Amino acid sequence: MVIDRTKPEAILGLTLRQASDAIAARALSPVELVDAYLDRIETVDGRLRSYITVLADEARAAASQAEAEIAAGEYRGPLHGLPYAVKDNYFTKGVRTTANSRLRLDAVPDFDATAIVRLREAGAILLGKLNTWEYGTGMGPFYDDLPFPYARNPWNLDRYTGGSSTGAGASVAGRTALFALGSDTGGSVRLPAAACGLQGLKSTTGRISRHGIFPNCWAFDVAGPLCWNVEDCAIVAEALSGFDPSDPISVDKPADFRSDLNKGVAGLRIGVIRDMDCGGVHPDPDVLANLAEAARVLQAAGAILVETELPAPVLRYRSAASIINWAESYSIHEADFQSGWHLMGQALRDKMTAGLQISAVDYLAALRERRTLAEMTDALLSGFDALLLPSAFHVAPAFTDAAGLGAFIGDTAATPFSMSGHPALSICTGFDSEGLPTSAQIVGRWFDEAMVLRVGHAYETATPWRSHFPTF
Amino acid sequence: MSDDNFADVRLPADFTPEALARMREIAKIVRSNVANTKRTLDEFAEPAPVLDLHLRRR
Repeated sequence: MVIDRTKPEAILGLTLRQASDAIAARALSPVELVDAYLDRIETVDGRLRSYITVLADEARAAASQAEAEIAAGEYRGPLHGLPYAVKDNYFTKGVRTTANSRLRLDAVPDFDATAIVRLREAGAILLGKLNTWEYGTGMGPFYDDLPFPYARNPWNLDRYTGGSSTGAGASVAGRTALFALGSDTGGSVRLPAAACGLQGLKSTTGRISRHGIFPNCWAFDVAGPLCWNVEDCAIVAEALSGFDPSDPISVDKPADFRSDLNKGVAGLRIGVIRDMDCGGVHPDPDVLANLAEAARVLQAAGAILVETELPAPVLRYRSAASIINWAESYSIHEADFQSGWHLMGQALRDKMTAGLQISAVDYLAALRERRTLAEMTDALLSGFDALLLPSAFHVAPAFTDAAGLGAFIGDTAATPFSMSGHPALSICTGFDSEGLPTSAQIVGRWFDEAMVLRVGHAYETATPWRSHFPTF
Repeated sequence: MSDDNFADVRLPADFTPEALARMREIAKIVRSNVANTKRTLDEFAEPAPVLDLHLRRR
């Protein structure tokens, strides 16, 4: 592999897989790659604001170590020498983990999240900690009142990144990280991926350890990657997967997300949910048109498309999910709320005041409803290899559009699969008339991430969207 | 679910009237979600972790 270094995008334009191949072939040095990303961060992140903390010295030292290991024939695999970044709710030993909260500005953990450990063992290099909503949580509306100001969308700096993994979306799309880890409670990986034109995977509940990620809602929290393309998601998710005794819901299941990636979709039965009513709101026309085109692409590749619908209205999922989420979040933050509520941003404060009003009986009702909805959703999936449906209903709104900011988070089909625990991949389906990314979701059966990624990869390789990069 | 005075919940000692007013607005959203959830509740549904639903089928 030859890298044309006369072109400015030669290194930063590489996908994870391409960079990995180049490093394995000794056509690219981890030091050169990390330096390119650190230079990019220095050049653009003052405007993009994807990072809270940059670990330049640590990243350079790790890159030198990776280079020496590879030169000595100690190649660890496809992530060796590759730079990434994590949402600032992942604990990092010796490195402040603020969760973008005034309550944690000086908090320095004494251990690493399991995801950080796994990626370090795979040879990946941590560039820094990424912007986020406070503790990765909120009720939807956006407030500019956190200690680190909001990240901006690389497709248009006046537009929202989606949340809550704001910096994860901004960094990968803006090329300040090769890949990023976010966390998804009700869409917080999928929605920044949707807003920023990325692929974001929420794996099956229990697939990837959450140990060392500051909790938001135990019932729904899932760690996951945001990447430029689906193959990259498969590589990262595979490295992250595996049993972890420190996470009480961790499951010991084999994770092979790449063997079938190129098998295509011929003969697969895909349920298509083209439109849905979310409290009287429907996806934007451009979102629906691009979803229809995605369905056509899959059909042309041999998939058997079957029109279907969710077994319950999105609002039914959201009502119960909100109760569980707010109550659990209040349980997590109760002590801080009682003593330091005035230090919390408005979004977290609102969520706390919601959570403290929920009785045990209300919470149990929501858990009972969750079980019903999860079984109904699983029954739907039992008839298909995968589902194709909207992700975010809208493109990224302007920061000046208060109603649009709330609607971007509220009007989605993300919650049903947080409730049911099924794996869901948000993919870029093209662009609207203003050049902003549109998205769709591919959902699979429990622990069948391989199928979700296979369908996503088939769509992605049949369309030109991954050759479109934002400029800002 | 609390009433509008929130007599049955523990509020911070220094909670302000403005914060309480905001909480009353939030209460409307909470009540709506609780009502929606209870409206469709299956009387035989018993809470079960999602993973248990999966593992039981193996």
